[in-house]
Amino acid sequence: MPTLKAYDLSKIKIVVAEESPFVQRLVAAVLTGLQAPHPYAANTSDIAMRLVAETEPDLVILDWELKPMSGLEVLRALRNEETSPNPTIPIIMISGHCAIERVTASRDNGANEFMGKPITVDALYKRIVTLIERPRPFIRLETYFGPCRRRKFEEYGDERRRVNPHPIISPDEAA
Amino acid sequence: MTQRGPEPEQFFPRNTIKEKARLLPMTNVANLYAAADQAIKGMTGEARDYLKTGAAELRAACAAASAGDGQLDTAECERIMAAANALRDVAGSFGYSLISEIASSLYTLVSNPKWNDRQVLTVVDLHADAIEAILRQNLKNDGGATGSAIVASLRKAVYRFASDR
Repeated sequence: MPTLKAYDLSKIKIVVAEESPFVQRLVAAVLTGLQAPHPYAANTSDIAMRLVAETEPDLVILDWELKPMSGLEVLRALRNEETSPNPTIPIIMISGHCAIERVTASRDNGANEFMGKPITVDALYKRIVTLIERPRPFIRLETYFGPCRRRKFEEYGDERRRVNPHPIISPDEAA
Repeated sequence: MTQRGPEPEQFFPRNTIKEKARLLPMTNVANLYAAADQAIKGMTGEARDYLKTGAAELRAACAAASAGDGQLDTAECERIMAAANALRDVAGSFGYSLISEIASSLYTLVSNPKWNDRQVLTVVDLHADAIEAILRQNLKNDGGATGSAIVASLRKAVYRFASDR
């Protein structure tokens, strides 16, 4: 990615749907540090759906491990339900478990971006900048509605170094 | 000849992030990052308490599961996995990447159905020991030589456990 530009995010309304109050506060700290306003926080899927309807956010940061509906179900509902308050709202999926299946499922259900935990300033800011500078067109097919999937999820090269090439449990052992 | 279906409908929706974000031409992005990093730094004490509580919950989940018989049941596995998740999700943001790594190992271990016999709890306990030791010694990033020794010993324990199956 070329040199990042600095943006004033102070007008952007964000909903953070995350079960853990501590992680909610962590995301809020990162966002406010980046000069974005304090986000609206939801710790359940029901509250998340209500906040998206009531606050008309510009961005939703959606954790996979939400309840009673999972983050993936919320993503599907926001994209596809007739009652969705905004089917084209930008959505960044976040997950502690970054298996390829989750990345693919997020993409195939209409997430704009996917971000693995732990949350870092750089990772979150880069995704927001991607939404600003390189928005993808939306596609409507019989079986899919969401951002064009032809372009891969942005590759945030330096983040790949965060993946341990020698995990404690090797893939062979786990297979 | 293959027939192509109709072209999908394609459009650019209104992008309110783009509309509202203003370029700050005189600002270096490093300054933005520094402010955000400072905000995270301000939560470090709280994060250590959070991780200690998480390690205690992991220990409690393991102790509760040890009291049962036969295969671990779903609720027992889920409690351990939830504790591992909570640790992994937060530790890395505060420089405790070793804890993230160990919590990931723990999650992989317990989420694998072929390892759901109660013997796995011995290895889970070793992970809890390691996390507590890292917090006690405040080992950040890779933890240096001590960190390497902790990881090597866990790797050995997992290997031994997996080889027996």
